[in-house]
Amino acid sequence: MAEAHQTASLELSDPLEETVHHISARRRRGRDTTPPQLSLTSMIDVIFLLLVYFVVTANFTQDEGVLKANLPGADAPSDAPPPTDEPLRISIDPRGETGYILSLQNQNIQDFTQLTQLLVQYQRDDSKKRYGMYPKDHPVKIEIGDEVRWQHALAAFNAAAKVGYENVQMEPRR
Amino acid sequence: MSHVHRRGAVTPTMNITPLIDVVFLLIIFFMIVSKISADELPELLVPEMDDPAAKAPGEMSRIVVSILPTLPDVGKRPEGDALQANRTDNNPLNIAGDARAVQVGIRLIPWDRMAEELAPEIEAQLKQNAKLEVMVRADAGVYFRDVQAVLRQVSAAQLPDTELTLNFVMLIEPRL
Repeated sequence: MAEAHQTASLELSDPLEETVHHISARRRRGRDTTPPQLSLTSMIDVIFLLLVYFVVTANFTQDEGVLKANLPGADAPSDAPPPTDEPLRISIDPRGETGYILSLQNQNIQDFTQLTQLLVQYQRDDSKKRYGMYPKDHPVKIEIGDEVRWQHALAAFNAAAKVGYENVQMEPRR
Repeated sequence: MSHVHRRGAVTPTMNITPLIDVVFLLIIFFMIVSKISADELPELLVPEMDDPAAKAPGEMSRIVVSILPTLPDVGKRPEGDALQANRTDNNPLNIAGDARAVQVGIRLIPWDRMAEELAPEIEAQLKQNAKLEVMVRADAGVYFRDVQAVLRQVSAAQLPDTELTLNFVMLIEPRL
């Protein structure tokens, strides 16, 4: 740059060239060499391919997760809870085609949000400042009607697990 | 930069062609692999929770038991949207609640043979691998009765000295 200015100022002494000196300086530079350029085309190619790849794979990955449970009857004999503990009872019955009737300890409740709230209230867990009646390992029994949709059955199980109960059973409602 | 250098300069370029080749191959590889693994899992609308307690599945050897709903025939492997559109009022639960079939790995067992064939299939896998995670992946609209029947078969497959753990599959992220 400094050199370019110098040439320009030298040429400035010639009054005839004065009006066009800046253009000629640039043109001279351009004539010498083409300015070094990085070819972006191939990089764009690669980025495009990567983009397509991620778009395609994003379609395949379903965000499915798992909730651990115990197999019914698998380890029942070894560590069955003492039968004197009256379990916390949740029951679900079908209503209409796809609906449900939910109750906790024989009291009707509206939905799974309310179930979660009540389960929190009922729980005793000093570390979480919950002062209900039931400790974490208190058995929770979910009784589910035959024609209840899996969505609702799992929602109840999910609510109990989320609140922190560790001994949750699902069984058919009689 | 001196004049000499500028005049004689050859524009330095990196040869990206082999890189593109490799990237292309990787893309094709992953597309094929992901297609295969997606084929193993039948399309279902698994239950979706407001506040899921589920975690991403671990790395243990696992066996996925999918419980397929009875849907009007939409051809092979419908896309997610078609699966949803098949249900009345776009309500994922509004289908006939009886299960149509169970799929274990890539094997499809019709519902009427489930009681005889599911437990032996899991047992066979359990003999090869004493620690096995069973993932029960049922459609949200299936009746609890049918899921319960599958669970009973899974626990019947339990052999002495084996460890079978049960997992329920649900969505972690909300469906779009």
